[in-house]
Amino acid sequence: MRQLFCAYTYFLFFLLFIIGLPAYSQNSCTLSFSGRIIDLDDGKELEGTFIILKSTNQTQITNEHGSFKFSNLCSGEYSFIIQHVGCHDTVISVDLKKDTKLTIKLPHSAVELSEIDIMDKQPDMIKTQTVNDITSKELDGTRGQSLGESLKLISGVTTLNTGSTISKPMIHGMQGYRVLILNNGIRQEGQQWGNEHAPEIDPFIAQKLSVIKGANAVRYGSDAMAGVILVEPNDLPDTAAVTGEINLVGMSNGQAGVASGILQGNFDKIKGFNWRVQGTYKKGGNIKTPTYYLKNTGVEELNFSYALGYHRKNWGIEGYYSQFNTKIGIFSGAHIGNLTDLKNAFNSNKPQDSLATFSYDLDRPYQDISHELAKGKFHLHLAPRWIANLQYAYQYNIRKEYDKHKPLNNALAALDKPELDYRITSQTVDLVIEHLNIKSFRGQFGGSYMNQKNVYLGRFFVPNFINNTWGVFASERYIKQHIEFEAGVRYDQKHLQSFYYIGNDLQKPDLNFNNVSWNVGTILKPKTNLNFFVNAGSAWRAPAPNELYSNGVHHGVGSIERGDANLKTEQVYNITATGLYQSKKSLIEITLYHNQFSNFIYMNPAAQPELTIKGAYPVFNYEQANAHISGMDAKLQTQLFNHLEITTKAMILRAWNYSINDYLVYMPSDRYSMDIKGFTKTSKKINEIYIQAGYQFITKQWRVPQNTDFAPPPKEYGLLSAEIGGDFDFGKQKLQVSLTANNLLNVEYRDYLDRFRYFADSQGRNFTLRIKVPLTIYDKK
Amino acid sequence: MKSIITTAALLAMLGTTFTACKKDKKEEPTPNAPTPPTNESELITTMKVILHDTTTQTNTTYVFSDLDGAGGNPATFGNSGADSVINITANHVYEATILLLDESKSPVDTISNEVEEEGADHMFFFNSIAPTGTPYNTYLSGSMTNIKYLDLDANNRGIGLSTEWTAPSMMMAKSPLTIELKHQPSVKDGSYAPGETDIQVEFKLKVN
Repeated sequence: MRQLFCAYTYFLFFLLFIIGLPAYSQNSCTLSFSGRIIDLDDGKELEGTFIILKSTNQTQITNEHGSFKFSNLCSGEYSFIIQHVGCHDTVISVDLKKDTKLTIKLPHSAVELSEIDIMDKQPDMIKTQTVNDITSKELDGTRGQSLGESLKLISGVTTLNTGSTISKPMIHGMQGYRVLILNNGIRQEGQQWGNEHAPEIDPFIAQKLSVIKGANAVRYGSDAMAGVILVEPNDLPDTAAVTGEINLVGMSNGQAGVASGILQGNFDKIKGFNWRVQGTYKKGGNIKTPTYYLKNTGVEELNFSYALGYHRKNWGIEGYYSQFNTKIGIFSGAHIGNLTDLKNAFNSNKPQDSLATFSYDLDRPYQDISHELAKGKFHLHLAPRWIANLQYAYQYNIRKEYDKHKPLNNALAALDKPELDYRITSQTVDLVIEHLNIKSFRGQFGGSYMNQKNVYLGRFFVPNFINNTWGVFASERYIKQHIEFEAGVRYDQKHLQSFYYIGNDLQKPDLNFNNVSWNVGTILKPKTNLNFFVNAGSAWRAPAPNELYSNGVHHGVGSIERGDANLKTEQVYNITATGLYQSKKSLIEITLYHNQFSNFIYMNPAAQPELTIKGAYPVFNYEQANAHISGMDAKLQTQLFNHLEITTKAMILRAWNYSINDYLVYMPSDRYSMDIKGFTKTSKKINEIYIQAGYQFITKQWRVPQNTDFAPPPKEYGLLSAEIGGDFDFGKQKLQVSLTANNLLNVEYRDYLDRFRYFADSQGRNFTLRIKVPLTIYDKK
Repeated sequence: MKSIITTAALLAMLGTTFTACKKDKKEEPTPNAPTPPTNESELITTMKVILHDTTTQTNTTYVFSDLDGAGGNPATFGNSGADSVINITANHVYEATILLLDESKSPVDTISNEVEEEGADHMFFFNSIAPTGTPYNTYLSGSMTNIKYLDLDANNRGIGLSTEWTAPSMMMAKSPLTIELKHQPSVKDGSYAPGETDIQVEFKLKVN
């Protein structure tokens, strides 16, 4: 049956490739669009101007004569954005029927008079790395979900789940310390030491989410081994208006509600001074599987952030503050005592603590997490085309975990304290000096420093530590019309002091790590609509304190975890190659990657469980192995008959542990998805209305090491989803409404990468209603 | 209108409290002395089964201990491991008392007192069998031993800290005897399934 199902899925994908093909071959795409950019006032040729083809983001840069050329374009209408240092963005539309050459005059000095600096809005050019975006429009369809769940839209990104409320993003099967999250330009420093620790970020902050795949150590820090997740808000507004946005989300499963709002504007009296406030509240109750409710799976979240900016001609300063607060219930039937409890839970049809009725009650066990970020950023134009960025950030993270039962002692129990209480304070400073195009070269160099302090107040699991890290890097890029090269190198040093007790003896291990990371890359652009990206690099990370020193019961997970104080540096060599074809109606993107690890740190289950007074516990030892992870992500998108869009995605991953000569544990299985979207413009009041259906098929992960899991991996499953939505006008007020159904057929399934799979089914059918109201409260015009 | 909104937004920013400003002074990662965590749950390091033979009026104690808790050094049976086998004589009546101790504390903390206080949320099980009858009885088929609960919680259900053991005939083989304490807050109904395991120690029982 499984083979049949798989064969059917493969066939469907094959069919779609066939359907898609004519769309690419029918256009005669041999036209060129070229031109010259000159200054309106003095007629000077403007070198280093960006011309961006809006539909595909294809970018060209003018040479020393101000000339540029796009070739291999199809006939049709195109929009180009023209960007030059010190000028406002200009958009031109071209109806391309034959080879076209234009001279474009930019009103250069006129803008300089406004004394507002816009230089920091220079677009970051296409990187030689593989970058996938979730655009603002796509994000609208994920509102209300956690950051990890939203990121799943990108092929190659999966999540490590603890039920449906805790999702930890995985890029190409790697997670935790190997994935760097940049929240508004700051590396997120929360508490990564558990698989049930999700990123402490409000996804409503983001107007765009990007994932850079592959080792990307040079610019972002040596530990960006699997990739980087960028959570990016919009720039602060520079027009004289007060605008905002309200997002309302309601979900049937868990009877959850989310409300989020943004308000932003600037000051008339002080030019270049702008502000933004943002906040989100979320409340949800018990999640329902197809047949029962899961006790204590509610969530409550309150987040807010604000930003202030002041920009002058040659410099700008920005302040940002955000707070993330959440209380997440952990399904009480999954909070087990020992191995016997786990086996009993797994063998029963219906979990303990499954309920027949819904409730918002949130009791022990639960996590209570706060994350605070304060950031200051300053930039200065040192000389034409030279910019310096200085950034300081302060982060404070409190993680409290409450066990299922309180102490037996009534006096202690009355205090209702968390059993685990960890607090981590991180301070980071980054200085980056960047030069824009000088004779086809563009590059940056700089340094960073981080100081981090960890303390625990409850039960010991991870020691107190002080971590000081600094690094320096340099990276240059050579850009020509049909080819680009990039090379970068970075050096990091890390000093880790830890403090813990064995009996009454204080242990103070003091460790130093240092290493070099590098990357080289190229973009080949044989045709305007066909790009190849190849990037190779090396990255490393020092073992983390929990991997070195943890020793005890990771409660709730029901296992003993043992660190190894002799762990060495983990290193990866990565190569990622992407072919990208984009035309007006279709897109094909195929990414191939290979990661070769030496000293890959992982949790290896010990052969014998450990006998304790609470019974037998499975033991996991942190060990190192040589390993590889490689695979393919593919995306094919095609438009048919102007009103139909078909998107298919595939993700294939293989991983091998050379030390045990078996598969690497906890890797995502192969998966395929297909979405069909029909859209139309109907009347004056309805701008766009669309209807969408999607099917996602997750294969069974049978590539697992032998005899290491508590239970065999669950079987494959397929989920059907549907959505209807549109943009409406009520007078001047715009409104975006959509209704989505996930797991439409209410399928009972369990996922290999969900820790709750030992105990309960995954979430059943869920209807989500989303309403987005853009607001214009005041506009000078 | 606009300036009102702008001012309000700025005031909202100022009005928000910074969590970090309220940070405790004690949050420094460099400790000087081992300070016991303020909010650690009790550690149960030791289980003692004391058998009082009502025929001979003698006491025998069997010990299982894990003095540094889970992880660290492994747990051991007392008397160089000999305590893993509990010996009883056929047709004698034994009064068994279970003691739970935290020997990492000084003075030693007797946790079983708290189990007794919260008896309505706790219950001992023998070989994972739910007892039957009034008072509660568990019959261990391997050793043909009957275990009768002598204590009662507020809801008149057995706790199992105090029990009476009898076996009718000598057995050549040793049989398994697993003693489990389950924490069953507001779900205790005499059955085995609900709750979470607090203690689980596997002895062998030999009827002589």
